[in-house]
Amino acid sequence: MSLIPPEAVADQEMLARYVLSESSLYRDNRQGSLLRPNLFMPYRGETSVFRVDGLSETERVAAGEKVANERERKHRQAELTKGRAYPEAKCTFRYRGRGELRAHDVRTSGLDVTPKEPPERHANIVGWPQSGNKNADEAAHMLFAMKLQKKASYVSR
Amino acid sequence: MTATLSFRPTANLNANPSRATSSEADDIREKFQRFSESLQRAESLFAHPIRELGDAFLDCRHEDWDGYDAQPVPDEAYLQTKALLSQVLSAFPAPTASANPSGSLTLEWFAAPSRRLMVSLNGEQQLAFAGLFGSETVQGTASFLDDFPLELFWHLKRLYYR
Repeated sequence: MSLIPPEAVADQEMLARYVLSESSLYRDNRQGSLLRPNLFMPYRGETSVFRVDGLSETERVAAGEKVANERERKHRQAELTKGRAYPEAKCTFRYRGRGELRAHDVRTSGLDVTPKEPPERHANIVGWPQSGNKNADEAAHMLFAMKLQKKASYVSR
Repeated sequence: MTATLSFRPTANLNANPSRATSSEADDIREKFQRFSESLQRAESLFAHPIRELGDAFLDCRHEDWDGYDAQPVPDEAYLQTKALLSQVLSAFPAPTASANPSGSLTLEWFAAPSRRLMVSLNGEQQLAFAGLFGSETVQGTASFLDDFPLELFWHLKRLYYR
């Protein structure tokens, strides 16, 4: 692990949100982006993204696969711990593509991006409204998520 | 005395196929086959969105369904969303269904990237909604017990029949 604090995220930086589940993709044959807004919805006030500037396409995919494999390993472990069957061949999370958007697009939507390592190149979309009213927050989060989805491009696997 | 009755199932049109070999018989057999297959594919006009909602629910019933620590969607959210959906399908185009990491089900009416409405239900009395209408946005909460929220009706009307 690097002891040097990560640099602040510059406006022009490209961010990737990895798609690990079909539930984040529209299943119809629509024109345009297949990303659903829910891909960008926060959990506990943050949306996890990766800073992918300087990475080739192969490296971006490899980083996505690494994230997916780690999530799958964690999920498998959790299922087995609960006593649920989880056959070797089963795979819930795999890399299915990514949504890419610039930090500038996040900021002009009214949110912010801050580095959060480890893992390397990791950052969080932050600034999601937290009023204490669960439903009002959900409404506000959906609005921000739609704005982010509109600006993001889908890079399929 | 024991009577032997022949079994003639009524559900399958092709259960007792003709053994005739003429070209007319082949033609009729083929037409029956196609008709039978089309009946098997048939579903009601509103079956697809209901089925999509069911699929979304089944995919999101357990925690961490998205790989990013999402909360599970409770059964009550499914029943509530299905009730809302069944009230609106005859009046507006069918929405798509998905779930949010907070453990709610969402319906999204999509006219264009800048014209869309999302509604989120978690099984509680209040639902959340947000919409894009060009450069204008709406967001808020509404009560949903039995009747379709009037506010949502107006937003949907605005989305499709401006």
